Amino acid sequence: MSLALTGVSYTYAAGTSFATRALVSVDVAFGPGEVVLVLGATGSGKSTLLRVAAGLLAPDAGSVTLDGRLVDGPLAVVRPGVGFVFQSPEMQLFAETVEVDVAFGPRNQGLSEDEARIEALRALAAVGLDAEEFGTRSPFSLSGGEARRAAIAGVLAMTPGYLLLDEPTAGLDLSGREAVQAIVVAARTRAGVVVVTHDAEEFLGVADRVILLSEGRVIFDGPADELVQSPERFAEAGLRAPEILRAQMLARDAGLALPRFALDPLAAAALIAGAREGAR
Amino acid sequence: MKAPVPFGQFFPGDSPVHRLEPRAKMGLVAAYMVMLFTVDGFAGLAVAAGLAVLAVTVSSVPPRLVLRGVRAVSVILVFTLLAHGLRWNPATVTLVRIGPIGLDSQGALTGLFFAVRIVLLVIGTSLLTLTTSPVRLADALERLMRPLELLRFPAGEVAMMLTVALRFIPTTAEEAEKIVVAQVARGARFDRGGPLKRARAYVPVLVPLFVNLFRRADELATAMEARCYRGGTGRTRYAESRMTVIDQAALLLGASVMISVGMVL
Repeated sequence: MSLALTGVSYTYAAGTSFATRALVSVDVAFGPGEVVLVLGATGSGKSTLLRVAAGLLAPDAGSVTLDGRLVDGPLAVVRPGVGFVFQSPEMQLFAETVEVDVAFGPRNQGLSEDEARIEALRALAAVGLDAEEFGTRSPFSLSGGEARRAAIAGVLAMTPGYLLLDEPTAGLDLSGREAVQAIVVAARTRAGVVVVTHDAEEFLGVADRVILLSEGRVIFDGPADELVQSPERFAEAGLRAPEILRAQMLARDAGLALPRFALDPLAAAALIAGAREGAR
Repeated sequence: MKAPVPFGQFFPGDSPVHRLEPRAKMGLVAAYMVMLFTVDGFAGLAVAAGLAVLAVTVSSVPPRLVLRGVRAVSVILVFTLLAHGLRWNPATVTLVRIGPIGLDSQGALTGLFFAVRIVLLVIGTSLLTLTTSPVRLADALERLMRPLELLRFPAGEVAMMLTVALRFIPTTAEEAEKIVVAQVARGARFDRGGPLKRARAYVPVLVPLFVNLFRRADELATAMEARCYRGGTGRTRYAESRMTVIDQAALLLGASVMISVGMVL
């Protein structure tokens, strides 16, 4: 059971002078119940990777399989069983009320009005929006963070087996970012979650696995903690390591024998204090 | 979903057609339209077609881009052909006859004449927008409308509205495409059912598209005011476009030839 890309290559405007290689022989797989973070600088191919996985782009070479079934052809639609949260998904809100909007997907899946409503209420609860308070409101009256959560609920209501999110926290304030982070963690229990971002700090703490992309190639694919323990790899992908890791790298460079790196600020402080104690 | 109409989609280049002063180009297009609407037969249309092919060739704009506009009016073309060609119980020679309905050869020929006229019209006007940047086009319109300011016509404001509208056509098309994909991802289908069902299927696209457009318009207006935009009066230009002798000669010669063709053929 996985959403797997094997030997996938993709070039935009192939065969023209504007040709841009976005993915080069990429082999990755996303399993159910895990949160995978896809990190890379702008132009590294991470959004293209997500679009190929979702079925929005057909790869030039290689194949995509969904739970063992080969899916091919220029689809231009998202594969059934795959939920895709686009950048600024609140742009898709259209209905008179939030509840009707969230129920749009389930109704299109052929569920009855009542069944669709149940799925909508469940999805609203999953994104932390109280159905009593928000269900009857116009989606256009919501704040930025609330609208983002309502839009994500619209995708979750379709109960996808794999949830792909493209820069889900872009443009949100702290509380909005924390709310989206909580949604990602909660979604893991029902789906395989793939988050594409250029901001490592945001989801590194909740990710099980990280894929680092650079110029369309996978340069790291492993457990999140493995990357935390070797933060110099961020630079290879043209990214800055999270500040908390940079502080510990500087401490190590200054001669402190840190046994390991930690993402949690308190744990990092304890490690540095312990190393200083040991140095004395 | 790509925008089917090439209006406002400038194809950059350095051909003589691109370099021609926009006012001269607009004058030539106007003369070309006069020619199209005054010629009486296929000989006149053939000359117009020849001139259109020549202009497209010189402009170096890929023909498929020019023809994209024609594709957008294909329904009108078919309607024109049928409206002139189909006859109820035709007495004259018919090409095809199904029951009481017949396709009359004379009518079909007339329909073809009007259809070709529409095709040539679209090619000519598309070439104007494909070879002239929206900003230059709006500048030219403003200059042409300037005499109307004496009658308190807001030429500057109208030109600015045109510039902004043209500028946002590709952005809006791109945004519409994104919303379509997002709604398809939620199971929306735009290719099923009758015309009414299909039209209703676009509600989830049109509502957010218009909401975003109004929001953006509001933000743009505020941003322009914040940069001291106070309407067109007294605004100067960063680059003034000037009619050279070549532009004037091209306009005079081209317009004379085309209007003469229109009167003779």
